[in-house]
Amino acid sequence: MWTLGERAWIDGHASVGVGVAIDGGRWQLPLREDAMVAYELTSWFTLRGGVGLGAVVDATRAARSYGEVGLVVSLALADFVEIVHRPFVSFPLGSEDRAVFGGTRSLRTSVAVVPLDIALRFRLRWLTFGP
Amino acid sequence: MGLILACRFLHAPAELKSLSALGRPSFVHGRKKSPHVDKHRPAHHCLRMVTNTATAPAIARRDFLKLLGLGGLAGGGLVLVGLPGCGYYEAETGEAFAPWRFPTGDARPEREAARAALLAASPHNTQPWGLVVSETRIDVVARRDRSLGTLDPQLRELHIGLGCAIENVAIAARALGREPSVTLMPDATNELLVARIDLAPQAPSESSLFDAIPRRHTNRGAYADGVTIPGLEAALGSVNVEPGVTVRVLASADERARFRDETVAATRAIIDDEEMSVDNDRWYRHTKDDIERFRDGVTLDASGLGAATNFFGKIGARPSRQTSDSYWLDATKNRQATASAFVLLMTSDEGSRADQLRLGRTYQRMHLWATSVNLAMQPLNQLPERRDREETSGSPSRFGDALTDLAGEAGRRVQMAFRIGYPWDDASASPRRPLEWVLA
Repeated sequence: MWTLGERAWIDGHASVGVGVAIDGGRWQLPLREDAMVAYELTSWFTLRGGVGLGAVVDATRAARSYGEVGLVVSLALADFVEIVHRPFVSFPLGSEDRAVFGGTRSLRTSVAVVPLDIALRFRLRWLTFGP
Repeated sequence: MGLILACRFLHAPAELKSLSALGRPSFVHGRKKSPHVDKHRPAHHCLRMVTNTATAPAIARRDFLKLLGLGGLAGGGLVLVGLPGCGYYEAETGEAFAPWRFPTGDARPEREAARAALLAASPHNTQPWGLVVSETRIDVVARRDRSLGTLDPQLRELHIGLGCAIENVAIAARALGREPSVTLMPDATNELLVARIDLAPQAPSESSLFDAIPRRHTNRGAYADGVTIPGLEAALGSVNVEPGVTVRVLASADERARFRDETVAATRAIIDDEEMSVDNDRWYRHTKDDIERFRDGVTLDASGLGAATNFFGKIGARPSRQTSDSYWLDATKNRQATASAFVLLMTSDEGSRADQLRLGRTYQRMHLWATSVNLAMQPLNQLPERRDREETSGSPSRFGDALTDLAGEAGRRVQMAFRIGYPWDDASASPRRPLEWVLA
């Protein structure tokens, strides 16, 4: 337990997911890890802030996979419902080059800034596993 | 909600330790416990109720959740596989795709060249050909029962498709050691016999177009929009355009926008025309059973939607005609409007059957060339289809005039249009009828 005084502590969140990108009908596997400092504002509200790293593996075409690095800010109510804002910068993790008429076609995601990435998270304690 | 209710009927661990030692959520590390947090935490109320119950252990929470998960998976599996009219299947598998394993190594070059015809382009993959094959000759016969009906009332696209098949036979024959001599419409008394291809022995010649035959597929996915292909017009012109066929490339932003807008409008008009919509829908093959039974038509995998979209489409039931129409309109507006250029293939205003066959040969040659250099192509014939419908039904020439304007050339008739560009994804193969089914 890494505490930082009376009301703050080090916190973390790891996630593995399966998703669909509607544009192009691609399967995606997002992997994310956030490292944060949590601060108990009141008995009901907890504020978290930190950095997040991630990788989104495109299971349909590997050349479209990308990595993420960004900030994480969240506010949790009774540690049950949490609203998370996770802006990030994405960068390509793969590429594919192919000779085409007129030159070479290179397929990869571009470096991009995603300023708005908001999620609503529900923490279900009854789904936890462990001792 | 079901999970919240479930926790009230589950027992606590056999050895009840202090509340703080019962375990915190694994995703919260190093939680600092303070008195006022315990007082307000809903989970502690649940545990307190359970510990007052002096009953024998029922099912463990973890086991219950596992059963719930397994049940969900089993139910989902039923949806994926078992329900009639639904069911996931792998793309490009089964006997319906066996013809794409070309060349087969058949020692009879006339049979192998005939197999090349099976892989030609045709409107809505109708494959409107019959073949009569002997050692020295292949006759190509029109199967008018496989026409598109009101979508092709003048059998224009049917004959273009036959021209595509003729071209594949000619290309394959040369590569396999036979010199083809093609006579179009050889019998004036029999308009169903569209080509006679005499085969004479010669040395086989290598050909990039022959190599492209089993890789050529219509790509209905998105292309890189507006990206210029340097030297495209010259390259298309150099692909041995048949006599009487002219090519117009619409590459500027303005020309592409006009063609796109008119094509979308023509698509809407086709959808609103019930007879045309029914004839269009007739060639959609949704299930694996339909694909294996008919081995023709347009499938989900060949629609350019993407793997994940195909997955959900396959596990669902066949969409209604109206739903399919709306998907088609959406695809035309978004995915299929992307291109480096749109191309019009034209003949003289009279446009004889032989002209249409020659135009089909030209299109097939262009598509094989594009395949060999990793470009994608897709016919976009909504405009000529609506024009033909207007002419045969006596309706005002709204789309006929639009086509004439786009052609920009007096005395020429647009027989077909297509888009060309750099594709985002590779196309899937379409089902094909085997040689035994088309031998007349």
